[in-house]
Amino acid sequence: MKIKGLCLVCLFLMQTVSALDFSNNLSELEFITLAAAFLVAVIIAFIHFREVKAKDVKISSAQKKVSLGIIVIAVILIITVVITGFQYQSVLGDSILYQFNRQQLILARQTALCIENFVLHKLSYLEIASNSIMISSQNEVVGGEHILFVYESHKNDVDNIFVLNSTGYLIFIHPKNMQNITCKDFSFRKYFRECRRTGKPYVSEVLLADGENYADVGNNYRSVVVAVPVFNSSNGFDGVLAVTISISELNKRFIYPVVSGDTGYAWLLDDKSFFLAHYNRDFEGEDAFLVRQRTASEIDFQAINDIMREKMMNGEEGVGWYTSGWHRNRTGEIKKIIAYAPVNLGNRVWSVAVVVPTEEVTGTVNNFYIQQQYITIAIIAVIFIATIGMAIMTLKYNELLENDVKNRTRELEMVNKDLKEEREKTEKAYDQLKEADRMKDEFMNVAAHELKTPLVPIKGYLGIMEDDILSEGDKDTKKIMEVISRNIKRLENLINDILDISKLESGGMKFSMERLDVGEVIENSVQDMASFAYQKGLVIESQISEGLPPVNGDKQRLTQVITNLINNAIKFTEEGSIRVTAEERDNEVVVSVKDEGIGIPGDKISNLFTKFYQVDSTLSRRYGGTGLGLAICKGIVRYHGGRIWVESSEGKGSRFSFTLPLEGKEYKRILYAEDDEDTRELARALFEEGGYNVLTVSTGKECFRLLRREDYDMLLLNSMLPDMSGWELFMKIKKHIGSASSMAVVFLSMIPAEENQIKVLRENGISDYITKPIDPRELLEKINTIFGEKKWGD
Amino acid sequence: MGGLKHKMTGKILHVEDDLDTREFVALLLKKEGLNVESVGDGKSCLEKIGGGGFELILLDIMLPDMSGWDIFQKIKKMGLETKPKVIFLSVIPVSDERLTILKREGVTDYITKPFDNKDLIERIKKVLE
Repeated sequence: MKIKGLCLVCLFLMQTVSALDFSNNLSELEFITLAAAFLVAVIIAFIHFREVKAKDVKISSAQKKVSLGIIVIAVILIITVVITGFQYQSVLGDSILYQFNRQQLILARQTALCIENFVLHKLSYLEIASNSIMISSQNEVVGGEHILFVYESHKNDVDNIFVLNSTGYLIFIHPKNMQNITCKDFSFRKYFRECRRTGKPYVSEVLLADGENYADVGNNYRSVVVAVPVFNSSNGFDGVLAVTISISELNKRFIYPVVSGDTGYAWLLDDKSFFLAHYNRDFEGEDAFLVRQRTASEIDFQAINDIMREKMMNGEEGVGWYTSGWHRNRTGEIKKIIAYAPVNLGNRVWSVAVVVPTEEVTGTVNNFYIQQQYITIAIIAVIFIATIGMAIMTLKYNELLENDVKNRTRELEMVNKDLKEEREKTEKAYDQLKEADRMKDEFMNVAAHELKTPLVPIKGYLGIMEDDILSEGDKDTKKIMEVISRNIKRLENLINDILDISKLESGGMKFSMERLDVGEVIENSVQDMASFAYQKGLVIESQISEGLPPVNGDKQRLTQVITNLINNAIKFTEEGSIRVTAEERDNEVVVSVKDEGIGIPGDKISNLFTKFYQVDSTLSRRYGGTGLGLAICKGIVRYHGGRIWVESSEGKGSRFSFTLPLEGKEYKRILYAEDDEDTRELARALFEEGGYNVLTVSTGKECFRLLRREDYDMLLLNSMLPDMSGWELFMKIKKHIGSASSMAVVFLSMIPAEENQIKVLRENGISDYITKPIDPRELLEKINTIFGEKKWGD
Repeated sequence: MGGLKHKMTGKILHVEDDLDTREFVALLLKKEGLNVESVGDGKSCLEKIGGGGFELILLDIMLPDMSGWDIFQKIKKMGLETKPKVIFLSVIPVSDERLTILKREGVTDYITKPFDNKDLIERIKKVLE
């Protein structure tokens, strides 16, 4: 709608412009074109802003600039097209007009020449004839056959041929179609007198029949007489030989046939400014100035008068224009082009004019203009529509993009629907799992509360009693109190240890890791235990390497480990010293506690770190201890990424050592999901030997839960677990645990996989697929290889 | 400093759901000449504190009606003239990290149960000084 309106505006403007005469100067056109282009720009801008406002689309400044740029380019293009068009039109118009003027002039000249020839031709015949005739003293024409010959030669052009004698009496006329004319005196005629006076041929003015009463040729009969003098043998004037030429014949022959354009015509003006011929026969025989005065307005009268008076009457040729109030088939003023040329008849000059309304010339040009305008308008319309389209597209780009995105999103939503449901299920399961976890934590706290609460008053009252007894001094009671006190202490330790080991096993123990100085931890532990050692008469020595770098660890828990190891050493040593050392070795800190105690039998060593394991049950009664201490130590050390082991020879003493990795060197942590216990334990022992930190789980749920809590370097995944397949577990981990992406995942399966299946698995992020049964050592090698590759990859 | 000691009320409120423990702590503190009152749940604890005049609260964390932590938060918001100091007593061990956070929140001390009699008295006296 808007575009249509705009086109109409353009059309209107164009029409206005083209209706102007091409004689107007071009700057005016340019101005109008510019105004039109400006208007177009304004309208485009208006639409642009309305569009933007209506849609409330967010538009970037870049988009605004682009759309503005498009509009500017379009406007420039439109201006160029329009100006080029006008310039072309103008040049073409001038050229056509020039050609037309020339053509008109040639036409006028030709017409004039024809008339001239027509008349002069008669004149030359007459001159020849005049030399051949004689007029006798009896007024007889001698050689009349020559006169007749002339007549016969110009029968169609000439009305009469006649001879006047030296006194002006008609003595001969042919044909004799007029009565009572012979012997009539024509000496009053100017042509007779001029011939007699000058002795030269003479073309008469236009003679009207009125004065001569030639009833048979009508009142309108007008003629020109072409006369030549006749001389006698002694060169004396003897008379006049003349022909009568009918003006109407002349007109019929030369003026009326002239057609220029559709409505152009010619007219003939004599030397007395009378119309000899005119398209409007009523004007013939009338004074042209009077006719003009009657028919034209003041100014037009002036214009044509000037041309007639100054140019035509002076025998000049040329082209001019004037405005006429009269025009065939219509009224109103009309501009006309006039081309004029003189008819030189020797003693007088007539003038032929060819007149064509300007309209006819401009009509041709205008036809062309209109065609060109249609093309121009079509071009502008195309530019315009393209511009609007581009601008709107640019402005709506966001919207389009949004729509695209929306559609795409809808598709994806549909695709994702199933996945979403599945995820919801998984999330629900995970929530349940979390709830279970939370309940377990709560249970641990409640258990701790319930186990410990009874101890508080028992221990407390006992303390009060002990103080009382100590001050009063009953020896037996004192002993009893000591036993009770010791056992309470033992019970408290047991509870603490059980709680610790439970937490370690369930992953519920909270560690607060920090950078700490191992030396300081050791010194603190040694100090804590010093009094206990002193009671047994033992000395604790500590030897810490200088410049030991800090490690990442939980201060409380590491203190617990070292204190526990020292405590064991004190318990099992009767005499000698205990040495605690710490040194850097292979990018890790090795802490050792060496005693000179009873030592441990070789076959018992492997089970030493298993919970509730006692080397000798009788010993436990003797030395106390819950059998949990070393298991707790192992759990804590393993959490730190370290190893713990013992070297011992029976009777000579033992050395307990554990390592803490320094930054940059950490034991690779492997999580091994395997339902078969024997396989699991075998592999675990082997991997630990190989320097890996291994945690094993038997179910998929457990595996997932652990991965939620902690990062591992590798996941060894049995393809079949009791609760879900290895693949299911892998997909679940991939979907929910982002940090697991850096983890190497190795599938272990009884079923061999084909090459391309392995390829697909690898593409999905599986590092390797290993077919069972496999020798554990071979498996270890493969694991080494994978980590090696990873290292190279880094 | 001695003068200041006399001006203080020295009143202690012990919050503990276990009756035996409550009576024992009351006996222990009274033997040390400390002024102690005991309550068994969070609600009566808040009522007592609302009455004002307590200088120290010994607060168990696991209580039947609300947690010691909730009680602590409520005391903080009470707008008392002199805010009582709070020592948590709990069987749940606390990590150094967590203790730092608690102290930043305004908790004076954290004692793990079962505690050593002398240790408890020492730490209470330290707070009251």
